[in-house]
This record gives sequence, structure tokens and C-alpha cells, in this order.
Amino acid sequence: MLLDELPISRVKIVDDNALARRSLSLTLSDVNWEPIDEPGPLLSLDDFVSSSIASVDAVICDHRLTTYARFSGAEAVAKFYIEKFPAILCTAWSRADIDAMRPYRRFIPVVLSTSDANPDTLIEGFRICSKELKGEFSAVRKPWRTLIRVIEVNEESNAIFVVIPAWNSAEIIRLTKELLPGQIQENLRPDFRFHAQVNLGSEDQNDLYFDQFETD
Amino acid sequence: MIHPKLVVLDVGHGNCSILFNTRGIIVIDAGPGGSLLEFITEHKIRRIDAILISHADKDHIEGVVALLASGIVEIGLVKLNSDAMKGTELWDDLVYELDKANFEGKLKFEVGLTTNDANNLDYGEIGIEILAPRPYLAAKGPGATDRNGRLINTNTVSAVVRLTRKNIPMVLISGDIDDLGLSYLVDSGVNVNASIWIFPHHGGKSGQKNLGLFAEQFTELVQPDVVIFSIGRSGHLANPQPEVVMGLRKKRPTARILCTQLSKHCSGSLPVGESPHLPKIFSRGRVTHSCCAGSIAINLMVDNLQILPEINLHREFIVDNAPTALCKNW
Repeated sequence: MLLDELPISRVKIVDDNALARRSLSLTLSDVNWEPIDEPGPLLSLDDFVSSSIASVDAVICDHRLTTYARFSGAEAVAKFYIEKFPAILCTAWSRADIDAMRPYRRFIPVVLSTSDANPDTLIEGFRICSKELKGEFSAVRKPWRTLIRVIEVNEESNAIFVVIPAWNSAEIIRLTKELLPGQIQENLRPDFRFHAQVNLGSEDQNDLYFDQFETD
Repeated sequence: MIHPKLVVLDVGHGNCSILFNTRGIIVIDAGPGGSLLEFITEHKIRRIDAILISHADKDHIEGVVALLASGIVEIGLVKLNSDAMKGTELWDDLVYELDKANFEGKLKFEVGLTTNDANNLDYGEIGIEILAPRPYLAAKGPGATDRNGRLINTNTVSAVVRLTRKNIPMVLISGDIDDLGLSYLVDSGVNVNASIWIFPHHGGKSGQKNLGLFAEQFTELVQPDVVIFSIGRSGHLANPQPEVVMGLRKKRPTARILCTQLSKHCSGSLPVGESPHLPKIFSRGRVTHSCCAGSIAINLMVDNLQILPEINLHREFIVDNAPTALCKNW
């Protein structure tokens, strides 16, 4: 099947739960894509990514992989993105594990909830993914340089609370300090302002990504 | 030959108008979020000659903060009125970015947008008139009381902009002006007549005691043929308010009404599939199928005002998708 000139016929399924892999296989069959089961264990991210690129056309990956892999699904999908290879993150953890996913979110074009995975959403997901790999960002993913203002710094939880006025000046966003470069971490205090690239078209704060931080 | 046009951008709940004048591009309010950025990118705009900010509400200024930080376009001038009452951090963010850009010589930042600016905004064939606020109101500022003891708030000092061509009034952009602001406008004896009117405050409540009467009185003054409500579908707001449309219809029964997005009063559900009536310009509601008229494009020709979406296609969409349409008069 041609999706925006990206040929997909074999899709690898990466999930620590064998039943979930089986279920997704059936969904892929409905699209006439050949599901390729990945039983694990996966030790090296680099080896996994290069062998996948050599053997399949796309990957669907769960996020939390427990003992099945030595890396997270978010890490893997981001690595595929950098290699310009289509991959979708399909997980029930998109909200619960946002801190772990946020550092990689710039390189994860599509996060699909496990319960939403069906032929239509997968086709649409790979379509979005392939376009972004060619540099065609959808409005919800396009990066813009923008102002970020610190509201509160919480040393105990190692978190900061910020507002992105150009996105929604009335909504506060929690970020982990580790997301920020050292020079910004050193200056964190209420009302401190800095700039970064953010996808301002995002509808949901969990889909926001942060990249190319700058201090003024 | 450049044909002047105005785009009323669908930004959701908020206001943003872009005037393509014969000697420059002028933005009047910038809406919330990044919609203006999308439009600028889509139209490959390299320079905006002036940004006029009607007042300090987030649904009019967030987009300026977005634009200033993005660095995607050269900006000539930004004009606004001070608003100490607002005191919001968003206002601080805006002033922070403006001050920085002004200091770095990237733009000219001017405080003051009043009726005294009548001759300061010459960017071509389309005249830009500032009908309100008067310097008195702007100087008193939000939070103060006027000489009759009435509280001036942010909406009272909202700038009202009128576009003219060959001295013929064409478009009235009335920001979020409230009934006190309107009373000052009336007292000034200024003619606010215009063919096309962007209704204030999205047709919603903004402190008026009688919203229907406010709509009636203002409509009587403007005498519009076309009325635009720049509204958003999402969130708790449901604009325009039915009493506003009723008041409007009472005075101008045949006026064409366009809402940028589909009001909850007109349909409980959103259309499915494509909306072929929408002009091929960015609309915030396009992806979520929230548009009614979407972004509106107006060719500013004196003898033949052309508006997109085209009236018949737009009506077909309304008939098919808005079973309780407030605008329907055909």
C-alpha cells in the first residue's frame, strides 16, 4: 500500500505483552499489512533499530517495555525518527508517563492510545508520520520559537511549572528540570523567562514538545 | 496593481484581522495561540508594517506574543494602549517581548492608540480610522472612573477601527467595546456607519445590562449589510448570544451574518467530512470541522465588495449542518 509515496507492507510490532502483539497483528491484517511479531528480548537500541530498518517498512511500538527491552518505546520511536524511518508509539501510558516521554516528544509524530488503534487511525498515523519525516509538519506538530515563563520551581519533586503565553496563557504546564539545559536550570525562579521551540498548534499540553532552548 | 483585501482570520474565540493595503500589511489584533503564525507562513508574508492592538484581553494579544518570539516576520510598528488594571502576566509577557524588540531596534513600540491617530496610519488606499477610544478614556485607563463615576474597564477603552476607501466607510472592527465605550462613541458624534461590521466581543456578554438593546443600538448606528462574529466552538462559551442576533435582526433584517466557527446555538454536533465552501486559507477550525464561515476574505472594492465564503455555498453548508441556525433569514 502506498501512503504518500511511502511503501508499507511489513510492520513490526513491539510490545512486552504477547497478547497485545497478537491483537495488533489482527488489526494490521485488516489493512493488508503483514504483521511481524517481535518476541524480544531487545538488548541494544542501535542493533534493534538497524535490524528493523533492514527487515520491515514501519514499526508500531509500545512505550513501557519492562524486561522485554533495555530501552523505552519513546526512546526507540525517537531513534527511528532520526533515522527517517516511520514509527508510531502506541501505548496506554501517554498521560501517566509523560515525564519520561517528553524529552523524546519532538521526535514522536504520533502517539496513539492502545484503545484507539484501528485500521483508520494506523493509516492516518503513518500518513502523518511520513509527511513529517519529509519536513511537512501538521499544524499541531509545527515548531515555533516562543516565550516560556516560569511560575514555580519545586525542588522536592525536581519539577517546574511554566506558562507558554502564545499557546495558552491560562494553562500551567509541569516539566521536569532535567528537560532543560544546565544554563537555564541554574536561573530557574518565578517570572524567569526563556525561549524554546514549541509546537504551539497542539491541542493538549501532553502533546507539547520543547526543543532548542535559549536564554535571553 | 494591488487590490486591497481584508482577512478575518478564524482563530477560534478571539479576533484577528489582516489588512493587505496597497502600501503595507496591517494586523488588527492577533487572536489567541498560533493561528496568525500559520496564516503568515501560508501566505509567505515577510513584513507586517503595523500591528494595532485593540485592548489587553488574551484572545486579542496572545498571538502577538507568539509572533514577536517566532522571529518569522519583520514588524514595523506596534501600537497599543496601556492597561495597568489588567496586570496579568500575559500583559507582562507582551510588554517584555515588545520592550526587548524595541530595545534591539527590531520594531517601533508605541503606547497610545486613540482617535488622535487619524493621520498616523497611512499605508495606502484603504484609510485606517481610529474611532475610539478618545485620549480622555485612554489616559484615565482601565480601573479608573470617568467624570460621572462610572468604572472604566479594559473593554471600555477597546480601540474601534474603521477601514475606508475613497472616504467611503467599508469595515468597522469594534474590538470588545462595551456599552460605556459605546456611549462615549455616541457622545463624540462620530459616524460609525460601515458596510461590514465585526461585532464586538464575539457577540457575547461583556457586562452590558441589556445585551439585546446594546446590539440594537449599535446596529442602528453602524447600519451594516454584513455582520461577522469571530467565535470559537470549543470551551464553555456559546456565542453569539441569541439576544444579540435578535437585536441585530430587528434593525437589519436582511444583513448577511457570518460566524467564523459553528455556534453551539446553531448545531449541537459538528459536520462530518469536507467543507467545500471554505476559502483556501488557514482556518483554526478546519481540522476539527468546527468552521461555519471559517476565515473570511473580503476584497475591498468600493462598488463591488466580494466576500468569501461565497454566499450560496455558505448557505448550503448552513442548511445542511446548522438545524437551529441563528442567522437564517432566507
